[in-house]
Amino acid sequence: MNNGLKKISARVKKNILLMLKEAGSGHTGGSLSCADILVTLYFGSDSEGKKLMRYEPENPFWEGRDRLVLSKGHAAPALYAVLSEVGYIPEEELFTLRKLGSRLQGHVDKQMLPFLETSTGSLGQGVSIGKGMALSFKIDKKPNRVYVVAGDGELQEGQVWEAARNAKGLDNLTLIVDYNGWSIDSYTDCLYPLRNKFEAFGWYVIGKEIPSSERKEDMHMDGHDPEKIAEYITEAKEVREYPQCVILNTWKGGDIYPFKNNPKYHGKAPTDEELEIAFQQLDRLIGDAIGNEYKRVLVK
Amino acid sequence: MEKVNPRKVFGKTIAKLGEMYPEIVVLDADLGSSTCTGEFKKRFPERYKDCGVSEQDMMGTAAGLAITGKKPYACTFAIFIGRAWEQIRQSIAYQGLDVKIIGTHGGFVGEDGKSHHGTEDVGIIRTLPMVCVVPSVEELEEVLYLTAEDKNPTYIRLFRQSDEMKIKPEIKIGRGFINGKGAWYIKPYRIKEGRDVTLVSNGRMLSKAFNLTKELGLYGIDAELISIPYVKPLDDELVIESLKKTGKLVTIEEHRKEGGLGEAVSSVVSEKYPVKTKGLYISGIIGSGKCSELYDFSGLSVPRMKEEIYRWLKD
Repeated sequence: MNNGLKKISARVKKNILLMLKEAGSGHTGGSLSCADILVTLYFGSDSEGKKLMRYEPENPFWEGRDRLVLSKGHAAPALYAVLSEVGYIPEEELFTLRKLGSRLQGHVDKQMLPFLETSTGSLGQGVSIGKGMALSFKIDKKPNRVYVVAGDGELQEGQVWEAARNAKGLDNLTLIVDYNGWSIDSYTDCLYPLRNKFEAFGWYVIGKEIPSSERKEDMHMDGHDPEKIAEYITEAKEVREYPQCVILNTWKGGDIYPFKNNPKYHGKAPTDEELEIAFQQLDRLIGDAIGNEYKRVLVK
Repeated sequence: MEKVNPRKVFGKTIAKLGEMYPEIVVLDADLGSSTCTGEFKKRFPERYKDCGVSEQDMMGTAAGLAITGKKPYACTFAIFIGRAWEQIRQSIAYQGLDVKIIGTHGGFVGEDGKSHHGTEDVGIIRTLPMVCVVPSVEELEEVLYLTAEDKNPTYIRLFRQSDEMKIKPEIKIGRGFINGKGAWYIKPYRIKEGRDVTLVSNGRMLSKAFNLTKELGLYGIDAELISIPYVKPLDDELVIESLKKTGKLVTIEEHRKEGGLGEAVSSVVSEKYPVKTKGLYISGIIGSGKCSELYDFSGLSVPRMKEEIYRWLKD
């Protein structure tokens, strides 16, 4: 059902890398780790072929849309690249990322791009914002759902646990954790056991984190598997009474070498050589023709 | 002068506003009994949420509510908004959201002491692209109606208790700017005319300043008193006009010097019409005691202000 997503994901990952290369700075690791999650949310379907998230590609301001809050605002390039696939951002504009006057700010900025759902960038704040949105829909008895994508690192913020304790009854709120195992300086093993923590706070938890200390190079990560992501989110949508936490294991830097599981790319743009290595892997997924086209952009 | 509770005025008014604006949602952080939001909660239970002892989450939740079309009032003590300053900056002010933050217990709280005095709140809010209001109890209802109509992020500083001047405020609405966006405010107005010195003040210090003008009169000093409820946007017109007559400025506030009303007014005055200026404010770290004792200790009681101004004018 969601096999086609791999091609979209590969294009998104290429664009992320090209944007960051062009900008000369930015967060490669965290953008690549959540790319498959964002692509699946926007383009994935459940087993009956129903779209996971409600939105209208032709009308970003449609009232009935579900809301997506990217709490890990430093992964903005991933969101921009996905929204370009949706049709909200012209592809050529992606390469203005982080430049003076660009609508594509270094961290997610709704003031510059009004169709984004909120600004984020200071870690841990998106969960509360998403919670406020979910509360608003509950007050109005509207069916809209709210999806918050948070990094594992930002779950160390105290505010997240204030929000976790306060989300009782908000079954229209799904927190998706991009568990890539790293914060800037360290592993995120201090969060272990994350699943139990959210359960103790009254959330319906789907998935389980693999701590960094137990990760092996060849492990299958559900957070890079569109079928698994769609399956978890579908399960979350059916939950009543409780907010849901979906834990998805990912690799920092995504599943692409040389970035995969390498913390040095947290806040560093790729070089030409690194891009070449990554593109060889991604070209295999989306075909050479498109690959060459992207290389022309790169050369330009 | 009679003591009144501005929080009760707020409680009654927010319940009335709740009727007029179905989009209003009230948030508390486990202090609803002190912020006096009980009546709103009773009448509109579905639009009231106690976030528990979680100011940061409360501010983020307010942001999410505002983004989706609600008009949230997030209420806590003035001191505790500082705990969520970065949430206010990132999630509310920088997004220009229609969130009203109510900080009760501004200034001295009395016996609870230094951990609870709200003495820096105006300063930390003034650094943000937000409306900042410190109304006296007489102005409060009008301020609440006006801020409900205005769509800018706004901080409203209330007090635990206040003296009532029983002077009808002269409400004239002005239009200023916050971060390039239009903002309604109540224009500064004259409470007493005078020719020797211009006193400017706001909040509950206004009633003390009003008494002070009478006391100074006994010394033969004819002081003019101006109320400036909106510290931001700051309308300087009346103050400059007054200074052209008196040539001397005294600012009086229940706040630290840094970032308060005095700094706001004197920075404009020094650019537009520099005059001899004196600031009266809270200095030092003040502990427990009766509010009346704390005012005296920090130089903000009427007798101490009177002595200070008299000496300064004679210098």
